[in-house]
Amino acid sequence: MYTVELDQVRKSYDKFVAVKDLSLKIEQGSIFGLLGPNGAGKTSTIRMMIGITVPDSGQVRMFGEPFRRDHLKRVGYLPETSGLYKKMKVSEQLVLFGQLRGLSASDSLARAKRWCERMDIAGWMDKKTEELSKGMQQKMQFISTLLHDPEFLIMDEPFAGLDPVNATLLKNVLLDLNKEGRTILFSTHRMDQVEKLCSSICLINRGEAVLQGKLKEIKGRYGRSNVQIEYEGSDEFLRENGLVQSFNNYGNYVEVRMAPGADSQKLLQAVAQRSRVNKFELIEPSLEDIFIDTVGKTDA
Amino acid sequence: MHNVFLFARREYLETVRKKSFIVMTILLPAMMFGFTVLPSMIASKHSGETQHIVIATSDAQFANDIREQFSTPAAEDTSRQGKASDSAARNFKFQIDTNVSPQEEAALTQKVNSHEIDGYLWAPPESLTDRKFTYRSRNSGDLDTVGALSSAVRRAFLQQSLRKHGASAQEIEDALQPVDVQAKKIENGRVTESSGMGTFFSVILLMILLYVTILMYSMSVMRSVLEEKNSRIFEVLLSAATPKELMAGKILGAAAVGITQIAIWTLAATPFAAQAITIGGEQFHLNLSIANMVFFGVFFILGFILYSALAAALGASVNSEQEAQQFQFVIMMPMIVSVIFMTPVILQPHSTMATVLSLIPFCTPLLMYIRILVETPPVWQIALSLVLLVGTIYAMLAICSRIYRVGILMYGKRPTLPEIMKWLKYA
Repeated sequence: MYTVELDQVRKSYDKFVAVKDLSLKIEQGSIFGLLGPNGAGKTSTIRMMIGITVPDSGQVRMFGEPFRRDHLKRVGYLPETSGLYKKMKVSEQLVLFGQLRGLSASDSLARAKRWCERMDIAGWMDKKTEELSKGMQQKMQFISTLLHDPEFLIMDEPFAGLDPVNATLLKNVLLDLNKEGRTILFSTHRMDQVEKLCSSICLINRGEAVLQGKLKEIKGRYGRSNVQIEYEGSDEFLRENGLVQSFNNYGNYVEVRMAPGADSQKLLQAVAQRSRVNKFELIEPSLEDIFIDTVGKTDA
Repeated sequence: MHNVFLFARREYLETVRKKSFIVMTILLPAMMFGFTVLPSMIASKHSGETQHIVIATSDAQFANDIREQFSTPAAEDTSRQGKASDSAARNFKFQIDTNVSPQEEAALTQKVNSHEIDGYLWAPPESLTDRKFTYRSRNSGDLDTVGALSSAVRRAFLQQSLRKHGASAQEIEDALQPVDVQAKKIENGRVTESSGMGTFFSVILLMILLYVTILMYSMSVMRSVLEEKNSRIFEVLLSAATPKELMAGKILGAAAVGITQIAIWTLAATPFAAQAITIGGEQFHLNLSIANMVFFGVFFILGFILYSALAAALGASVNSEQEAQQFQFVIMMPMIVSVIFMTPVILQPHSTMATVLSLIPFCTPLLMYIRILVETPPVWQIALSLVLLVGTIYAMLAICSRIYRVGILMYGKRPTLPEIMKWLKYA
């Protein structure tokens, strides 16, 4: 059972094609990552998914049926940038959003109160929205998407503008919701942020899916071909052409992507020759590496 | 429908709670009071000053007649009555000068210049034959005095010629008695109490109310569409409601604000209304029939909604408030056109031009209302105008929700007209 199925959807604005025949399936109860750089077509894809725009061609299915507007009663959408009325009181605004989703005023208010307590902004409910800090507004926006208890949550850059404490708070709430069986879609260009959360991903670039599937399978395909090395001394080993395909120097350590078929033991020897090795670990490539790798290939 | 109501209520509450709403509600009547009542109050205070005028003519009898006619403010028609009595309320001091030599002319001019006198009526013998006079003063814009003088001179001539034909003083006075012709409208075969001035007054009232409320709230509707567009609230809203619901709610909310404001003013003005209307110097019979009051309400509300819809459409197709301001004239234009055509329509309510103009939805609220008041047009025309008006409102709503839907998804540049046309076709 899939929560969302996109079949060959296409959207162009004038001559610019924002989404090129994209197909993807989001499994019910999964955490799905829609990943890609800025301008890749993530938001355009989401807008078609929830009927804000209509695809030029292709099909959108939701909850196993062709998309209908009343499906949206079961969807919560957190847009990329804050979409709140600045002059409205926090409580009034949350009640309005609840009512728009079909809740009664009193029910909305009760739910809003509960969520505000959980998200630590209960003391701000009588303030005007514009008096809240950016992080608080983000939390308020987050609450507004959850009031009607949706089965499917769409989070477009949910952690943008949140400090680590609040980002963790939000992440834990989302993980709890997922445990209760809700499907979550993350859309972000910060791949490191959702890497640990998602079970499936779709990497898109220039409106096209470049890589998709279960995260474990994708990573498995790439194997443990990366090495993290902490060393003191010469970095000459990085220029061993037969062994090193590319590397990323993070200052404290360096992450090396080995050339295809290279033996990690030989690399270790090469490092040890001129430097003192503090750590040498074989790791899975990060999503970012995989993305750069894949995009590099398709672009070439 | 539920969503429309929610949006309308939100819009309504937000606007009504704004300080600007409260300020305008108090300020506007204060300004109207300032513009209408204060000047006449100041003018009547002004009457304490005495105007010193010299009548320079060789015919002393004629000069005397002018002075006499001037002090008996007998106006020829009702419309002048107010003004004539106004100038009569001011104090005039006349001095008769039978010397009309060029030297005297120069001397009088000097006296005006040195503020010794305020002005002089120059009437040398040739003036008496070809009936051309000049009134010379420091303030050539004092039309009240000039008007009163010219009617006094005319009556003095009349008096003179009657006297020549041997009429007695009593006969002359009778002949110069003022007359009073009042316009009364025949409606459904009965003579009504509504006078021409009353009709005109209610038209002006509708015009001012429409004009002011549209001027005030069209910007507010535009701004609220812009706010949603720029803060991306629409993305959240459109995931819960349709653009049409959103637009309809917004426009109905604005209409409710307009009605509230008018209601407050009406209630506040009722105790003063009778008093205010007599201030102008004439009694207006404002007792419009119930039917006409209903028409007033209908045309006001529909007109306001139509113009709000137009404002919303503009708000959806621009990117910033500065741009919106540039386009405000687009909204005011049809309103101004209606005002320009008001007089021709009042004078000839049955002409083809009046019929056509009053059927154009953007002009209907004012012009059809005028026609109904002045000379009730055929029922089918009223019905047609209302159908067209409501139809246009609905069409505007559909158009503007489409512009809104597509327009908000385009950032950074103002759409060209061809682009907007393309959006309209966009499903």
